[in-house]
Amino acid sequence: MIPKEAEIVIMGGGVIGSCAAYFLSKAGRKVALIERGEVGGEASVANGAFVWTSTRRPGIDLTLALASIELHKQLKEELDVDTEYRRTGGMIVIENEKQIPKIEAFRKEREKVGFILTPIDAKEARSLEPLLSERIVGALYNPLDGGTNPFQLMVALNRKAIQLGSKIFYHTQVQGIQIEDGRVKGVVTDKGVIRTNTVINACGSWAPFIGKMVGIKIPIIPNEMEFVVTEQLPPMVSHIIMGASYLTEEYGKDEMIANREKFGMGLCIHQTASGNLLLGATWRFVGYDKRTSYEETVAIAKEVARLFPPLRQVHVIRTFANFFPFTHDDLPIVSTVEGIEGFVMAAGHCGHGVCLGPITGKLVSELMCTGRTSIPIDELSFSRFAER
Amino acid sequence: MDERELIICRCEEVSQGEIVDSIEWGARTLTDVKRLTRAGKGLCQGKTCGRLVSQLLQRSGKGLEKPFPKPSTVRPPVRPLKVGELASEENEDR
Repeated sequence: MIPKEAEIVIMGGGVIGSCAAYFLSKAGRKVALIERGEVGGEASVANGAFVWTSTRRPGIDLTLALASIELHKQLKEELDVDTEYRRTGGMIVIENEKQIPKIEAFRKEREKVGFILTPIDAKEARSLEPLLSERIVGALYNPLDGGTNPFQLMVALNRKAIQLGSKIFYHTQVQGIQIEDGRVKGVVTDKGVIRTNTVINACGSWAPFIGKMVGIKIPIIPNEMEFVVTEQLPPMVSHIIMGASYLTEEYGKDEMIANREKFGMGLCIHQTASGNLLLGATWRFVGYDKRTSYEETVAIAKEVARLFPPLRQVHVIRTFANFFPFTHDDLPIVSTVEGIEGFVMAAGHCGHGVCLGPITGKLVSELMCTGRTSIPIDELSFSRFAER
Repeated sequence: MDERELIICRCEEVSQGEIVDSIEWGARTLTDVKRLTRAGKGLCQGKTCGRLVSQLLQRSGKGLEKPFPKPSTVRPPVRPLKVGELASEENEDR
């Protein structure tokens, strides 16, 4: 049963909401977490399950990722369910000579801040990943990258939060937020009203709908991303793989936002602990339509077949898509909101929610318990998008 | 034989007991059960076990959708296809 009141109500039971619920519960707060849909939420269970630092930009982006992978390691140890987090090492595979200048610039930009991606030649890359095509020219290697099982992570976090006295309600929809004199007073759900002074909007691509309920415009756009899943296989791809084209191709986001048909494509491969290969990914802007498309499935298959020719033999058993909450500066919004006391944002992770979930949860907890955060998060403020 | 030991999802080897436990824990839809137990995540994508899980959910009286739980989302391909088949050049004309 929905409680009549709660210290904090978190809206959105994905990885961000689950991490926030866990860290707040650990800090002694009693939380009610509300998820409209199933356990696991939406995009949090429909992604490549990367815990990946290599593509992060120097600055707050990289700082958050590096802090979060340490928390992934810690959570794997302190939670009762195995999150399947593994640091497999990551490889950005360089396909042709043309990609080299951009990849070199990308690598040097990171090297300047002491973040090392090690260039390896084709022979070494193939010794690490024997199924790689003979035609590749090299790779960047990073031992810090890895993957997890986001669903197991959320289940583990949710169970622990419940043990610590918090409550979690799936299949429960937020219908409104009560505000009096600029202060949050309660959350109206389809199962009843919860009185509370504090809410956290962790609804990812759906965060703008919550924003509308309190009269603010949250500039998050759903960015559809498609993956395919293969049958379970013996271990055959041991690293987290990304194709360099993901970094070298320019897609023009504004053009993509205007054109539903146009999609981007960057290879990524993750063999999960269960043995399935997650192959991706294409992305485009199609509103909230999460059907997969034949064109995108074929594009992914072609990319995989070209860079990992032996994988032509593996069977695709499913395709899936979901929405990464896209923001225009590719950074999440983690902050309070001026003018609405008790309203906290934790959304817009731009496809990095699984990686950044733990650090986001920790920062939100620090923000709410002490008013200070261990990593300065001014750059993640909601007010950066305020209309000037 | 103990009913709990019956295999409901053959592809992922999920027993009836595991499915009943997931409903006990809070699963209310086929997708909940699928995520919690992996039933329906295998080669056949729930073509066989979907009905059985549905019946278990019905029998529990805890299903969200009544009287018949909705099947979990169906996604292409209908049957497993090789990456190479999807990627082949001939495929471009089809």
